[in-house]
Amino acid sequence: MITHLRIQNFRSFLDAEVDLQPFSLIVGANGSGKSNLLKFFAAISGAAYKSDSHGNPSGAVEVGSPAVLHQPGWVIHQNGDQRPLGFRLTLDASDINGSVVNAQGGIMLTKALPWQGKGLPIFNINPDTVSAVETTVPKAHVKPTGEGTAQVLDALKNGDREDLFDIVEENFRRYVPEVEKLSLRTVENGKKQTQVREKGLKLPVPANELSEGTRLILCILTILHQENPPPVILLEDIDRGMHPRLFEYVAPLMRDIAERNKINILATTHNPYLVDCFQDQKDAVIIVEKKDGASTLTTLAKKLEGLDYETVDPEDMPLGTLWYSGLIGGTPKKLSGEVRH
Amino acid sequence: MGYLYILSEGERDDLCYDLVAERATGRTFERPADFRLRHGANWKTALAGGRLLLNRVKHWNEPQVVAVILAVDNDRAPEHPGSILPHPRPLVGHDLKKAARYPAVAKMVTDALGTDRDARPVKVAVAIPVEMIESWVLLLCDSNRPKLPLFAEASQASARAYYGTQPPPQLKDLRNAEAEAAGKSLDEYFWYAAEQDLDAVTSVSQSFKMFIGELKQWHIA
Repeated sequence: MITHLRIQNFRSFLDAEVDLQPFSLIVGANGSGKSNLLKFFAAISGAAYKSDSHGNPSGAVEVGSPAVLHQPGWVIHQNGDQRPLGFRLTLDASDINGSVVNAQGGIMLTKALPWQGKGLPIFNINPDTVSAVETTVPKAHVKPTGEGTAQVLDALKNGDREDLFDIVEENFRRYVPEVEKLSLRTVENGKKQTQVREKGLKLPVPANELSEGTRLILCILTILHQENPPPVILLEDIDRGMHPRLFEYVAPLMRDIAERNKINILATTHNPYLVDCFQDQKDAVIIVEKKDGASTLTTLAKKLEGLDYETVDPEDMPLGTLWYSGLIGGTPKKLSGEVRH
Repeated sequence: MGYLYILSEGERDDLCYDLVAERATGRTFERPADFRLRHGANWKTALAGGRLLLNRVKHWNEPQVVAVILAVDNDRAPEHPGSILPHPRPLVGHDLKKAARYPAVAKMVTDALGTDRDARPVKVAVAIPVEMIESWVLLLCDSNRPKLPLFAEASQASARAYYGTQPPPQLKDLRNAEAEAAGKSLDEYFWYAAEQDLDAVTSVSQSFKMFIGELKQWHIA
């Protein structure tokens, strides 16, 4: 699991670092760099590690898509400087350094990344896509929109990885107690849809009739337990389409999934109600802000230092309200200009 | 030059308070950040927000003046020195249960910064318009107008309950109508109001007089 991150010269980041928790919630104004943080992981995920016979790094490896590194591996700062991308990840208590060594986006790593060139998608899950009827295929993976969820579940169930399907079902039952059984129904030849048998109901419920939050949970569990799951799950707008009441439930769920599986989940949001759920996990909220044109990363816990937050009743100023107020940063600039005659 | 931080419910309110502060003190201020209360936020949230804002700025040791305006509508709460209570008819519902706001904010400021205004590291002015900022804006635009209504909008259930019949236009209704008649946007109307004669309003609004008095006590050289 990644516990610390430093990014230099990637998109809006010039030099920013922050501690990561198993589940980190990323907040900030539009355009502050939240998505760029996810894109950083996606960009470096294609980097492989080359070593010589002694295990020392032996050369640069081009990442899959240099374009994602922005100006092939280089950031052009507003002052016109070109600076090479660099990063440091603290992973399982040891550091992995990476740096761009040529203008084509070649990255030299000091140690192998655990995902070794597999790529990390940025998930922007659409609940409707998760519940769609899909054509079954023998090898499948969940795509960034959640498409492929039924395909993966079917491939696990009917391939030779029913053990993984059982884990998804077991966890799904744990997190959604009404669920008794997870299965797939054949809609027509070669096409299937996920369905759920709920306690007290005689007929199974097709996935499109489940709540959006439930579908999101099913999708995330499927991502996690598909064959070759990503070790870092990147979720854009995690609260999209989700009722605020579910946040109290989803936030600990994500934390639990990440901790049990020793992975990182990074999720962006603009929703103060979701931030409210981190009263006891203030170091798991990362505030992204632009300062002098560059994105910075600061944990909420760090932001509260010097604010004497303990001098007020948290019920009078929940964390989401505090974030909204601007007292800890991560809010938009003025929306309207001054009206001067 | 100094830094001015305003905790209010909206940008339009900021616009007005900023210009009034400049005119009352004769100084211009930089506004490095905006602090905002969510609409509908609990009154205690406003109090907590004010406390945290003072906590944040009081340790900065800026070489420049640091000033703060804490703005909260009175919203028919009792015991404000500028309040027009007792009302001609009793208030209804939750309005009856409201606690006094000005004394609570004043105590919070004293607790955070001490009683000696001149020794405070931060200049503070408390803006608690009776009953809301629209009251001040309307008076700034016409200080000779008849007594102002108490509620935000005539369509509010609390206003209907208070009047017992269809209420006359209330503060935001009057604001909207007068801004429209003047061909101004609401932002422009607030700005126009802040440009008018401040002294004329201090003579008819106790709450505004207190606010201007606190601004003038900043004694910024």
